[in-house]
Amino acid sequence: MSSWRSSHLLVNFVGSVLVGLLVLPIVVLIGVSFNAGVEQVFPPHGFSLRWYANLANRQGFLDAAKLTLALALGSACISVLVSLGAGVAITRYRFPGRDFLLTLLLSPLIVPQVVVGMAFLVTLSALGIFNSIVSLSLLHCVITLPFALRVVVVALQVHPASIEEAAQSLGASPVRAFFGVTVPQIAPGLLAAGVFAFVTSFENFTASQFLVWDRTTLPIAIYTSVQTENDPTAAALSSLIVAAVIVFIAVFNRFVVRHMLAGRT
Amino acid sequence: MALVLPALLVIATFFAMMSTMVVASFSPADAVQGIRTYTLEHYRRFLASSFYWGYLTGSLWISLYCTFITAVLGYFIAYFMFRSSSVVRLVVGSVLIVQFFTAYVIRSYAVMLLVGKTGFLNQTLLALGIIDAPLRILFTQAAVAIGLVQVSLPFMVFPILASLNAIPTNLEMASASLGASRFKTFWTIVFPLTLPGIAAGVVVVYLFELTSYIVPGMLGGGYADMIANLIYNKAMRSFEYGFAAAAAVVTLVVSAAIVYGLNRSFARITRYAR
Amino acid sequence: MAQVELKDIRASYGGVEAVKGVSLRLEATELVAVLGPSGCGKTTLIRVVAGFVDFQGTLLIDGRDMARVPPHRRDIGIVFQDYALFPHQTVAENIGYGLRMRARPRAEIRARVDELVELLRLGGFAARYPSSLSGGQRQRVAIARALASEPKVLLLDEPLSALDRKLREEMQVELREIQKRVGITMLFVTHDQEEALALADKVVVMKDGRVRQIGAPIDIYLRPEDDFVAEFIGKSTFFDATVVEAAPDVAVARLPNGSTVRVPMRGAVPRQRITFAVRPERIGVSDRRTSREGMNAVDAVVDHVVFLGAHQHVRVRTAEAQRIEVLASNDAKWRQGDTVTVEWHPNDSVVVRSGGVPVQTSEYREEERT
Repeated sequence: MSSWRSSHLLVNFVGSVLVGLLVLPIVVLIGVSFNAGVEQVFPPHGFSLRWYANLANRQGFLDAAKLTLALALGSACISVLVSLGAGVAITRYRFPGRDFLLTLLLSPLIVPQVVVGMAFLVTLSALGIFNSIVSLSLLHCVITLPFALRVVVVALQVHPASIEEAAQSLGASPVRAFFGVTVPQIAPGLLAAGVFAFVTSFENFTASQFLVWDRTTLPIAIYTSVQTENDPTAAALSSLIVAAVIVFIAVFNRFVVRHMLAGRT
Repeated sequence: MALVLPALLVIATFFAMMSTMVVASFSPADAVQGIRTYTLEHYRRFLASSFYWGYLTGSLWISLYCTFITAVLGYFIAYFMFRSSSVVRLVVGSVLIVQFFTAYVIRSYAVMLLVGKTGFLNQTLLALGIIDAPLRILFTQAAVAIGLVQVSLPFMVFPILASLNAIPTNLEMASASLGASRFKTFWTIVFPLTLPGIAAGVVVVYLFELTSYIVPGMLGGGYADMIANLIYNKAMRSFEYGFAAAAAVVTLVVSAAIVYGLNRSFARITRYAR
Repeated sequence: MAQVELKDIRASYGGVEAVKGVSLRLEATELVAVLGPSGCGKTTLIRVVAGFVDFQGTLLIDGRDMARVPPHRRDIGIVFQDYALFPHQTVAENIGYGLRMRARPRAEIRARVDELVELLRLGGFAARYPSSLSGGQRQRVAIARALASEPKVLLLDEPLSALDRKLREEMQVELREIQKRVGITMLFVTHDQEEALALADKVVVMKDGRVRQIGAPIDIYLRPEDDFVAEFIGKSTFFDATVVEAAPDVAVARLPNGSTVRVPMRGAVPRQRITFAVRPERIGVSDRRTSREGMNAVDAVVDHVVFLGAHQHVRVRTAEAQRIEVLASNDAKWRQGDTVTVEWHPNDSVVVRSGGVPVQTSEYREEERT
C-alpha cells in the first residue's frame, strides 16, 4: 500500500497502548500463576510450578472440568445436528412463516442469561428435578442452539441449492446430493458453528449457576475458588485454559480468525 | 418438516420454561399447593422500593457509560487494525479472539489481579511514587466499569472492523480527489459509513453489560451489585422465587425494549441503503 | 484546462513494479486514452497522477511539480470504474461534496449543483440516494461530482466498463459532448479498444508497464508499430516472410509457400526476415484470381465460416497451415473445403517486425532516449 493510505502516528500509538491494556490482565494472570509463595502478585515472587502441581490434588476442579467438557462437546454436537436440519428446511424449502420461524429459533439470543437461568430454575424445581447433569444438559442445548444455527444458516445461504440441483440432474438422489455435495462445502461452516457452540457452553456461567445442585462446572468452580481462597491455584487453572484457547485458535485459525478478520485488499 | 422438528422441540422447551417463570412471577409467595391464584405483589414490591429498582436504574446507568467508553476504545482498536499492515492486523486480531474465547470468569479474575490492593496497578503506581498508599479500586464501581469495558471490547471491535472493511478504498480516494483532507475524509465518509457497525456493537454490548453477573460479582464484591446479582441473590440465597422471577421479567422487558428501540433508531441511520 | 506531463514515471503497487518508465504529455483540453490489457499498469498510472501512489520520475501539471502535493490539493477529478459514489449522501450532496470541502458559500454550491444536474440530465434525481439509481445515472452523478469544482484534469478509470453495450455507446457520445462543452483535459484508461478509438484524440497503448505506441486513433489502427499493438487493436493476420528484393519504399518478400508479395517498407535489405500484419477487413476472398494489378494473392482452403449479419468471418488455411482471418461481405457463400484465393493491396499490410527484432521507430521512444 502507498504511504497515502498508511496510518497516522497518533492512531498507531493509541491503538498499540489500548491493545497493550487489553492483553495486560491476561499477562498478569499468567505471571501470578508462577508465584513461588501464596501471594497473588505480579511480577511473581520467585518461580515455581507448585500451583499447577496443586491442581492435581483438587478433585473438585477435575470433576468440574470433566462435566464442563462433556457438556460443551455434547451440546455442540447436538446443536450442530439440530441446526443443520432446521437450516436446510429454512434455506432450501419455501413455506409460509419461514422468516418468522428463523426469528423464533434465534430469539433466545436476546434473552439475558440471568433470565434464562431463572426460568430453568423455576421450572425444574417445580418439576422436582434437582439433578445438575440433566438440568445443565438441557440448558446448554437451549443456549448453544441459536449460536450454531446462525452460523449454519449463513453457510447454507452462501452455498446455494443450485449446486445440489446440478448434482441431482447428474443422477444423484436428493439425499446423496446433499451429503455428497453440500455437506463437504459447508463443512467449514459446520465446524465454525460447533466451535461457537462449544465455547458458548464452555464459558457459560450466569445461567448455569442456577442449576448447580449436586455438580458444578469449571467457570463456577473457578469463581467459587476466587471468592473463598487466596492463593494462585485458580490463576494456574485459568492460565491453563488460556493456553488451551491459544492452542485451539492456532489450530482452527483457518476457520475462525480469517472469518472474523477478512480484510480488504 | 421433520427436519425442523428437533429445533422446534428445543425452542418449545425454552418457551415453556420462560412461561413457567412468568407464571411464577404472578404467583403469591405463600401459595398453597394445588390452588392457582394470581397476584401483582412481587412487581409491586420491586417497583415500589427505590432500593430494588435502584439496581435496575444503576445497571442501566453504568452500562450506558461503559458502553460509550467501550465504543470509543473499540473504535480506536478497530481503526488501528484497519490502517495497519496485515501482520499487525493478524496479531491484534488473534489477541482479540483469544479474549473472545476465554471465559468471562477468567478475564474478570485477571482484571481483579490487576486492580487489587496488591495488584500490578497499585504496585506500579507505588513504585513510581505517584501514590503513597494503595488505591482502593477493587470492590468499587470503578473496578466494575473497568471489568465491563475489558470484557466486552471484542464484541465492539469485530462489527466496527467489519464495517470499516466494507468501505471500498475508492470512496476515500474519491473524497481526497474532491479536496477533502484526511480528517475530513474520515469525518464525512468513513465515520458515517461505520455507524451500522457501531450500532451493532452497541446493541450487543449494552445488553451484555446491563445483565452482567460475573463482573459485578467478582470485581464489585457485593459493593456494586447489578440487577443480575439481585435476581440471583433473591432466588438462590433467600429462595424468593416469585420475586426473583418478577425481577427477571422486568429485566427481560426492559432489555427487549432497549434492543427494539436501538434497532429502530439505528435503522434510520442506514435508510440510504434502501 | 491544464497541460499534464509525465516524464519517465516509475511506480510500484502492491509490491510489484506496475509502471516502468512512462513518459506522456497531455495538451490542454485534449482527451487521451490509455489502452491496454488488464495488469498493464494503466490504473496505477491514474493513481500516480491523482496522488495515491508513490512514484519516481517527474509529474507536472501546468508546469508545476506534483511530487509533494497531496491528493486533496491537486485539483483533479476522478471517475472510478465503480463510480465510488458516497452511499450515505444524496445525488445533490455527492455532486456538491467537492465544493463543500473547499468551503464555498452555500448559494454558490446550490447553483453549481443545479447547473450540473441540468448538464448531466439528472433532473428529478437530486434528492435520491445512489442505491436507487441505474448504472448510467450513477455514472453521470460520478462525472458531475468530479466536474463540480472545476478541476484542472479529469481522470476516468474504465468509466464505461460496468455498463451494458447499448448504454456504453450512448455514454461514449455523451462523454465526448461533455468534454467539448466543458473544455477539460481528460485522461481515461480502458481495455476496450473500440472505446479508446471512438473517444480519444490520442491513444496510448500500454503493456507490462511500458508504452508501446502513442498516436492518433487512425494511426494506431492502421499503422501499428509492433506485433503487440497490431494484435491487441483489432484483429490481424501475421505473415512471416523473407525479403528478396528491396526498393526504396517497398520490398518484395517471399512467403513460406514460395509466392511473393509486396510490402511497404523503408530500408529493407535482401534476406532480411520480416513479419507483416494485414487486417481481416482488408483481405478479399474469391474463387479464382482476379489478377487485379498490384494485388498480393495467396491460395488457400476455407476452414471455418461464421455468419455475423452484415459480414461473415471466414478463416482460411494455406497449404503450409498458415491461418488467415478474413472479414468478408455476405454476398458470396463459402463452405468449408472450398479452394479460394485471398488477396490484399500491398498498402494494407504493415511490417511489425523486421530482422527478428521489434520495429523501434516510435518518435516517442526516440524522444525518450534523449
